[in-house]
Amino acid sequence: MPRLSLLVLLVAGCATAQTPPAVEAGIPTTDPVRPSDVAPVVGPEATERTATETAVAETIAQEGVHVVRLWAPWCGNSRAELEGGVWRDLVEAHPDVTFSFVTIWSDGRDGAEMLRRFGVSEGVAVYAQPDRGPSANRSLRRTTFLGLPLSWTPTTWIFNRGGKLAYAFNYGEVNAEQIAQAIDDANDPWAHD
Amino acid sequence: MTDAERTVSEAISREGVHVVHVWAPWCDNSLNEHGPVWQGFAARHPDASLTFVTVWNEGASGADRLGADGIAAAEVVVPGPKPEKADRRMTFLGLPVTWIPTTWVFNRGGLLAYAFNYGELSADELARAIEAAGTDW
Repeated sequence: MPRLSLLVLLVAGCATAQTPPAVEAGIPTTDPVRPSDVAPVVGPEATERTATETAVAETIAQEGVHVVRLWAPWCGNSRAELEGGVWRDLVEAHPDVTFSFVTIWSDGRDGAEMLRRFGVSEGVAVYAQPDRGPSANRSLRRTTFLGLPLSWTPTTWIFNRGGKLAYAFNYGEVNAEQIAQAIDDANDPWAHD
Repeated sequence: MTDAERTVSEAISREGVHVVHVWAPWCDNSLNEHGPVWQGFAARHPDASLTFVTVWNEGASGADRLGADGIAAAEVVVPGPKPEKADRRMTFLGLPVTWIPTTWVFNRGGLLAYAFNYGELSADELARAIEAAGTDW
């Protein structure tokens, strides 16, 4: 059975409320979805599936542990972890785990170039989750992915056991120890009654 | 939305940080957490609410067990028989419940901040999640 051990240095605070101005042309300049824009409960939207969701669903349905990272290249909090090498190191340290990097609220840009710049390219899958229209229009942004609520960027999910959600870190930045611990725990094939 | 979900939804939509714990009185893994994680919760986290959602228990309350273990929490019981192991998947508030114990932390008017769906967690990890969820960035 998994037992989360003591984790140090939880990085509090994150993206959306502190989003810096757009740094690339065409990137939304407004903050992403604010809590007031988001229903806390998954709605009918969950039944629709984009091509990106279908691809990620196929990945996480396979045996093993799968990390799904939802981020936005224009979001300083999303970038901070890349700049710190957190994701480069996590990917290198876990060759048996799949990593799917999915951009959200970014007008379909997949951020692959930024990932490469920070050493994240080998062994990862890169996707863009399109919105229902221009990402600058908050009401057109998607607020679920695979039926799970999506309120902040970055958001990190760990799946195991054939695509079941094991852990969700929805409230912004995480650190390497948290994710490494979650991966270890998700790898634990504990028996249950 | 079921009555149980409506009750919890109302609780977590208030200001502040809210912990929702899904468990069953017959589940040893759930009971393992009672001492280290849930006893004394209110003293450690006076600003967070705590709701136990009792599932897969023939609709019976686990209040006696919570009382015996010295756990002060609101309890919501999900009705229905204890399903076979293979059928023990459900959603609650739209979130998947695959294993118990499962623990969720909500903030900002009912948004999911953290989910620990894969079994037991430690008091330290819960404390860090509550602390982070209470940060207004």
